[in-house]
Amino acid sequence: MAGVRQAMPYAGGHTAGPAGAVASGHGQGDTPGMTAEPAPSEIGAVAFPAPVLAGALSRDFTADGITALRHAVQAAARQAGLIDEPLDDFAVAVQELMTNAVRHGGGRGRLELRVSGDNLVCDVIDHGPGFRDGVPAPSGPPPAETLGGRGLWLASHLTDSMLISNGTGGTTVSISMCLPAAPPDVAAVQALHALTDRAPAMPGDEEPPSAGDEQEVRP
Amino acid sequence: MIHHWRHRIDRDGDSCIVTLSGEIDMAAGEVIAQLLAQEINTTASTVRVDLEAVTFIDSCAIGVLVEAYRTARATGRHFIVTAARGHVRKVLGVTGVLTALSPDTSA
Repeated sequence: MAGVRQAMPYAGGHTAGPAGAVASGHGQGDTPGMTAEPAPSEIGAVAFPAPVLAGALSRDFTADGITALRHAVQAAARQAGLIDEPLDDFAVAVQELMTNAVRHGGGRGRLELRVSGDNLVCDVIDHGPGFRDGVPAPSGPPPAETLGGRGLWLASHLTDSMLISNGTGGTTVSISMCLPAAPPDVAAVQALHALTDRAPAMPGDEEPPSAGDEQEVRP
Repeated sequence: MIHHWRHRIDRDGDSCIVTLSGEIDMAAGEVIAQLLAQEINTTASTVRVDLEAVTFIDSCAIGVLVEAYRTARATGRHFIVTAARGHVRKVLGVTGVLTALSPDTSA
């Protein structure tokens, strides 16, 4: 169905190009039956707002700044939609990675927080010697009376994923947390349906329009 | 520097209660370790740490509590963590130290 092909650029990105192209297509395919519909460019603006920057944070840290940076990460994570127990879990995990960087990674590090798809991702980068004996992969916490060794295990246990890049020039530990699904945007869904059901074929489409419902919306 | 935690010490005969509040992370750990070591050293029987008002702990805080527990036991004293709740209780639980530090299940 041609309409689906028209709508896809919206779903794939937020560039102005596809919206403009569809809008001009609407003009060419103007039919009485479509005049009551909002212009597709407006539909695009409703359905797919600007890229979400909530949850983005990028900062260098040393021991003195860890607590304040954890608070900043918590606020950004909340803004990105993380709540309740997962938010608390994430805060502890981020804390553990920062502590590791300060204690074992040369006394300082860099934190990068971002939203990637449905996930909140936090990279903590340090310039320490890395794990000389390979990256540890404990299956459980150390015995109760052990003084240390819980940090990385906690970070891994409390998050949905943890990746460790162990290099001679430093270590990057990346943790992620799946963000809760946002409530459906009814207007956006309706607008998308309007596009997929009725959008006309574009001039310059790679494939010529096929017979079928395509014919119904062309002049 | 802003402190995100506070403490209070109530001594009663041969035992004492150290009540902590706020967020206990690496920044607070060293000071609290010294504080607990001193109380263990000067208390004859039992040191209790009340965590009811603590809202955040990390592995550093756990290390401090475990170290105090070991020091107390090595010198014939009791060291008991009480009233951990919410996420603090969860972190103590998943790391496997809750049973050792809070033998009373109602802690």
